[in-house]
Amino acid sequence: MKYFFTFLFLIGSLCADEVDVDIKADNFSADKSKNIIIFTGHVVMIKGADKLHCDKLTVHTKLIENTGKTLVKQYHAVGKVDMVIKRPTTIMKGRGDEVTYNVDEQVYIIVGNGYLEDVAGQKIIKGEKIYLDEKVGTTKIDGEKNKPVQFKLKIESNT
Amino acid sequence: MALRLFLLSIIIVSFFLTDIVVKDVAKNDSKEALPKVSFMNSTMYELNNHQVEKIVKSKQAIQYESKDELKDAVLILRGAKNTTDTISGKYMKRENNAYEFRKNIVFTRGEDMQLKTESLNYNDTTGIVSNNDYFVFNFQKSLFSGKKLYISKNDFAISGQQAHFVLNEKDL
Repeated sequence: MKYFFTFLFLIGSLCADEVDVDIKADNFSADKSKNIIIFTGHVVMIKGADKLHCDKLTVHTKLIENTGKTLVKQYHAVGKVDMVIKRPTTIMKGRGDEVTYNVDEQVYIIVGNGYLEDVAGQKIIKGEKIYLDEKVGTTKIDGEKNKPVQFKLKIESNT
Repeated sequence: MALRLFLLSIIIVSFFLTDIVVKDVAKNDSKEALPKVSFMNSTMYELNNHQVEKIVKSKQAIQYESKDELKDAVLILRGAKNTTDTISGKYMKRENNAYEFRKNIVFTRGEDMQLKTESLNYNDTTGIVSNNDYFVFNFQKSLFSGKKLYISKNDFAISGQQAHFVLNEKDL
């Protein structure tokens, strides 16, 4: 039964803050030797007010040798990715074919039909590749030849 | 004429039947089916040099030539680090290094950890735990449920279906 503990610690690396993490998926697998957890089929991950829906979620973890703790290195969501991220001043809504979040760099990369909405700031970004750097607070967007970058600002009309 | 034909047919049939090996299936089956020892409402203790290592309580314990069967059983396993694991169930079977648990399986470790399921298989040789039923695993305030659990001790792999995790950071 100690392997349940091992698995729980591996999964437990998903909740670095003191917030419950709720994950549902059709299938899951974890391989401690590869430091990887894979959820597939109707994946729903809820952590506080943050939500993620996708077809497949791969969580890459790393072992901190001194402490023996397992931490998340990267989240990689694939297939109809839909996410809501709550921030102190706003709510960010993102969509795309793939979303990668690098935990150390605090960078979200949305790839393929990228969509990012800043609800409070009333800004919408569309592009093939969207970089959201949470540490610096910048956004970079790459378009494609046939799919130029779109940037929309919602401006209130006085009339 | 009819008698001749009859005799000839007996000779031909007997010729083919000489090569057929008749296995003594009934004898083997009966040998396997006969229990060597059986106990009713028993409690068995297994001791090592330091402590009681294992306690097996059951309404019926049957030992065969190559397997053991327990009905309405409770196994209490004491670990080296003063841990106590308890497994209870309606039916348990051990055959060679394979363990089979069926119906109302409850595994507990102390007060914090509990696994409930309707079936569980464990192979001590391969180190694989598996089942085909739903399971609910509680660890303090965290919950992990699903079906078709698969755990491999040797390659540290775990998988399952219809997974639901509710993880409380304080439990980890």
